Amino acid sequence: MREFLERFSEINPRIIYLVMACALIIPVLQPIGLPIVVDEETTKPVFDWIENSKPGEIVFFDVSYGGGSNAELSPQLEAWFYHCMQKGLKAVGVAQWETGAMIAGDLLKKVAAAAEADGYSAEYGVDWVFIGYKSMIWREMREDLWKTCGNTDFYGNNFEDLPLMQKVRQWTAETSKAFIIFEAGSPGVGTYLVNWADCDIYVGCVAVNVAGNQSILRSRQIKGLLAGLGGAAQYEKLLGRPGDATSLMDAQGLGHAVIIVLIVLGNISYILKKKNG
Amino acid sequence: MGWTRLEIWIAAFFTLAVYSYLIKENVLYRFAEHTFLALAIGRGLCLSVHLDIIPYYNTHIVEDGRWWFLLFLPLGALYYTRSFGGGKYGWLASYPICLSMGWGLGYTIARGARSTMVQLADTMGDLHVFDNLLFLLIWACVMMYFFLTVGKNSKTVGTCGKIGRYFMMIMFGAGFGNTIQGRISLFLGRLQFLLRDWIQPMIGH
Repeated sequence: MREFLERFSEINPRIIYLVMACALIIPVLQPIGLPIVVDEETTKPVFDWIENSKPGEIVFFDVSYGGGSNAELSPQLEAWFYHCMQKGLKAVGVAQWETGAMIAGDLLKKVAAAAEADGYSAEYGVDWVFIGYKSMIWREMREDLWKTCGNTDFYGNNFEDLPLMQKVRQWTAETSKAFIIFEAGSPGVGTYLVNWADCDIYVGCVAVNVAGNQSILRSRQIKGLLAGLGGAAQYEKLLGRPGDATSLMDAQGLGHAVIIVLIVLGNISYILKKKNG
Repeated sequence: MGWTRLEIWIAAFFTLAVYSYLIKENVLYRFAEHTFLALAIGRGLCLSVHLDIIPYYNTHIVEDGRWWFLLFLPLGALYYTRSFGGGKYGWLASYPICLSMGWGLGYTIARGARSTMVQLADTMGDLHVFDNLLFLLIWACVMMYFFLTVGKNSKTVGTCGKIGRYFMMIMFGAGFGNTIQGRISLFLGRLQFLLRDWIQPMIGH
């Protein structure tokens, strides 16, 4: 055993990859059903914001992520957007990342179709609009959203033809008091902290950004935070509509357990090797 | 959006090609990497032109008659001087760079300080609350770690700085843990695609 532990730090990385792959694949095939606990300080405020909004209220959202963050942030966007449609809110989306626009362009249509199939109104142009990626000239957007966006949405529609956009000429606190940004880096929430400080800002971020965003959550610059895949799973639980995030949390948990074991073994190996000189 | 079987097979092939790097560097990985870059740049460029540049040109230049906006086109094109003539005229690229940097710095100084100030003010919360007191102490210790001039030889500053370093290590550890979580999530997304969209229809479950 001692010899195994001493030689553990020299293990072939491919064996670790294999162990990790098994730890992740098995729970995906055969879910264990680990409990998901809703965080009252981060996830709950985001859910409560939508839950307590009145039907017809306008909410903005920003899709600022790419393929690398798709697995974490798309389940967040999916759950949040479905919730908006369920509550009869009017959602208007932009993207600071081109890749975010590409991902959301397809995803939103899929979620809207699912919401309609469940009996909720989710008609494009009436209940939601996705403006997509634009040159984010923020000051101008506040004053004249139409012109800044060239009067065109992501799907090539003219704003004139979209009834919802008749109510959204500007992007100010009067149009929409609160919005959410799904972000994976820069440009991200910083844009809004500077230019939309008069609005209630909510964030859905990748796990790696959680530590950084805690400081702006604590200082109440943002009102709520969806943290990685776990945040998405918690939102799905609150919504009562389990989706991709819920089904993957078992694998996530088991993956973490494997990493903890590897860290402990690696440290024991390091200490033993140091002792032996 | 429904994917055709061909599209799913192509996506599965490229997913496996990328993960083949875990075994070792190979030609399939390189092929996937270059294909991805080419596609991303090509699609991004087309989207920018059709959904951003052309509509913006129509509203701001044609409708508003602000033709002087076009003067920025040759200014922006100066970036390319680095790529031609063996870099002989590369110095011209400094002009658009210094203009955009100057604008960025001015904007950040004028508007960006607010967010930092709010965070700073937050460190001075009600000290009767244990969390706030702890937060302030950690903040002070971490600040002392970065005292490289005044009081750097003081025992108090040195000790507090050392404590601050441990707190930073805890924070970096949390950051690293979150990063690992993110990487696992990324893999899980692809895994779900491979199992649910690619393999499952093949075995008929």
